[in-house]
Amino acid sequence: MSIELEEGVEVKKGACWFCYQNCGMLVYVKNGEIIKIEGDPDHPINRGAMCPRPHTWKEFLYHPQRLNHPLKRVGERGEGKFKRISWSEALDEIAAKLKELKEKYGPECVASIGGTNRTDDWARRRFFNLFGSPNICHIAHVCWLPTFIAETVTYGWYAVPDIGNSKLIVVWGRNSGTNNLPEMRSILDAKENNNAKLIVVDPRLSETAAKADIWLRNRPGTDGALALAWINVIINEGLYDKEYVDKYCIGFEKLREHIQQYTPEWAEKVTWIPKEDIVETARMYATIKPATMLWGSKNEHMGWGSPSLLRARAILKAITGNLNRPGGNLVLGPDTEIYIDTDLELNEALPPEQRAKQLGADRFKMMTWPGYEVICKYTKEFWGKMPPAEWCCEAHPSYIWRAAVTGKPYPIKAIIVLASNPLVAYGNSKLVYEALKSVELLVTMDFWMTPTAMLSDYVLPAASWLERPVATSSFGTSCFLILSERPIQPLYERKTDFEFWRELGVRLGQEEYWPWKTLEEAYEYRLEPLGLGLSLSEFVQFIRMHSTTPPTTEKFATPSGKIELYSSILEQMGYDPLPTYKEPAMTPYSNPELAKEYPLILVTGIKFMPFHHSEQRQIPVLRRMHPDPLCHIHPETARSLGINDGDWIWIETPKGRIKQRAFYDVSLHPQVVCAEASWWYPEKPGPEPSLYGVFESNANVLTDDDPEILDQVYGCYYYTGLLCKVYKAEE
Amino acid sequence: MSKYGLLIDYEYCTGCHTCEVACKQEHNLQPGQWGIRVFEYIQKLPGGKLYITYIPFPTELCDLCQKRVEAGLAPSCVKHCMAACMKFGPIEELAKEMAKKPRTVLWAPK
Ligand code: SF4
Ligand code: SF4
Repeated sequence: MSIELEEGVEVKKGACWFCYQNCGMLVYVKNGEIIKIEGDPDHPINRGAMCPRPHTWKEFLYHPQRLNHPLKRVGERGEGKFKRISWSEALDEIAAKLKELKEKYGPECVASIGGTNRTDDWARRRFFNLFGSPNICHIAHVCWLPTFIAETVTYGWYAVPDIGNSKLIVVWGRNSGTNNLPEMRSILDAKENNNAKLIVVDPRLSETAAKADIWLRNRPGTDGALALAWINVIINEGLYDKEYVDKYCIGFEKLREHIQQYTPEWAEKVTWIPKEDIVETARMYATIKPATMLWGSKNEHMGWGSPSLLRARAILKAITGNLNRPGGNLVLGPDTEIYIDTDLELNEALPPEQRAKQLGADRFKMMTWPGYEVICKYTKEFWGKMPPAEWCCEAHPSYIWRAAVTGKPYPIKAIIVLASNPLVAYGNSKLVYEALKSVELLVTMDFWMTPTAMLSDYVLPAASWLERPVATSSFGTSCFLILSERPIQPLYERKTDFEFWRELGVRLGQEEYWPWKTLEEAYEYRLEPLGLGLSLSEFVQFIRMHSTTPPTTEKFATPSGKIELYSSILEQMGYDPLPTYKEPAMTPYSNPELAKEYPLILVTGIKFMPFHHSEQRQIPVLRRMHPDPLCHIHPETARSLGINDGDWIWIETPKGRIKQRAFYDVSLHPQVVCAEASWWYPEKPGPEPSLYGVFESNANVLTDDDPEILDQVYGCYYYTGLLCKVYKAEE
Repeated sequence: MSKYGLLIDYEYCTGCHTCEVACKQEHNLQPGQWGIRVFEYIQKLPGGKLYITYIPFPTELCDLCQKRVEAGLAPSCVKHCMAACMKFGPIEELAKEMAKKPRTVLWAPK
């Protein structure tokens, strides 16, 4: 007998949030308890599949180390002494402290650090807009948003890859085979059904590159040079789509002139990819139609190298006529039929004088208020909607840490951390540590006691996707909204982030702005414009993914209404309107002196199964599959240093050193090493100085966040293509 | 009644290890026990191209998810494979599929 038919079993339409994919799940519930979970065969994203992580739902839901009650620090900060308090005590005390700090230093002294698109970010922004602080952020600067902005200045929104109809797929700065498994399946489908070709650009033969027809192995951090050389070949060989360019693009002649310097010969020297391969792949991209190019957040990890790459990739889609062509990349815009995140953020509540105080806005203008206001003007006119301020208009974290430590340009006195572990997520971990230690109030809401939670004054228990409904779109920007219902009520005293912001807001005089008491009510409000009058549960029985019907349009949401190869917005904001290659700050070419001591080229931020980011290390079944952090190294290089496969090694940069295990990888260039991202050890002691071993193997101990070496346009971090040395460590 | 088996398409296995965990959790296997394992083999092909083969291989502990199948569900690994690269069915039918799709292996338990 199948499980659905058993008496008293209900099937709830949930959606997994162990990564941002939000795959549809059927959650079998009996007497308020989950008894089983299966992938939902009717869900458009995962089509019934379910990756390793949700298979361990039970271990996660009932794990003895999960946070179940609000905690308040009683010992010294970081000493690990907490006492249990009630939610109302915690919220009253936090609200009182925020009020006091606001009166003393102004609302901008309160900052907030968010996670990876698995919270109701609009609720956080709503709270802070009403409170008056512009200083909230995520790790947006390394996670697709710079791409979104670069494409928006070029053609008015992001262009979504149409993998299913494609004949050529370019995966660049991305490993779909570990980071986005549903997308990987679509790539394989296109290979099987359309005989699609696959080009992968990656310094390493990744799971995705393993399936490629052509794998381009580049020197890490130089992807921009490859993209510019592709443009050079495509224009100079006359392979661009002339009709499309004439009809829709402006600035082509300036572009043609500008890219003459970026010959394949030049690019070979920069990227270490043979020029024949550069030319061949450029020709393929321009002539195999339709061709699609995927997003890739590694492209935002190259500091000075990133901005030209992001713009060049956007330009490539346009000049080859692959934009808005089925099987290419489609500018679908936002979901215009419902209330999107932006509609709930109350950005108009933040006065201009507070916007002007946003940390980092004087430098990284395109992802802070100055650039955001300009982009909003054109997107609003065109789509009737604007991109969310969460993700697209954020204080720069490097400035937040510095303001907390130095008090300049003004002090940051409180930080609220939500669904994030900044000690591993952000570059320059030791500075992040100093900053977290120096504020007067640190609040963390999470599933676990993380290193960051260990340093906090209040630690609050979060409800997971098993205990809450979910409504999400790609960082609030996509033309769809994925919806699911609440499988069970939260266990213990776990709450959703929405409830946290709402209840804190109510205590700070925001009550009239929080009309929805539950998350279900808030989501039902989001769907109101559809006029269906359905409850969330009713709605998700029919529709798991609401999509707007994209308008067919001949115009673009830019100042000229055309695709701006030469960007007038970037020009107006004081940036280079054309993509110009810049070698990142710390490479054998840009800093040969340093390269004498640190001869190897380092990629940080390798992602790997079965973990997502810094999560799931506590789940025994998963951890046993990958117990230790691995650093990929070429066997030749390793042997010359006396390092055996599996040895613990030190990886060192001028910022510090960490230990990982050597993993022989013959696919690498011998001068390149790749360290895994996001390691900490939940099994090690929590109190200081260990902090769950957060400084032992965490690749961000190696990276710097000096604003000078970051990309100056969007604020992309510099996580790839650094200099390092490695040597054997004692066990 | 015909015998059942698995048809595993290793051209499209991406090495995500879903099958391993899907099986382990379904059967409540002890640490160190697996009903299916994914192996990885890297070699240089003639012509110089580096190639990685990922190949999921069922073990002695695979019972083709008898209980699930009786309840009308597909075996756990087949249902949950993120690359949809495994099929379950009568061996004769899978053999016909195999003729259409190269780079597959057909496997049956004892
Ligand atoms: S890919 Fe895996 S972790 Fe991510 S949402 Fe889907 S099932 Fe969950
Ligand atoms: S679940 Fe599928 S893709 Fe993943 S390792 Fe197993 S067979 Fe390969």
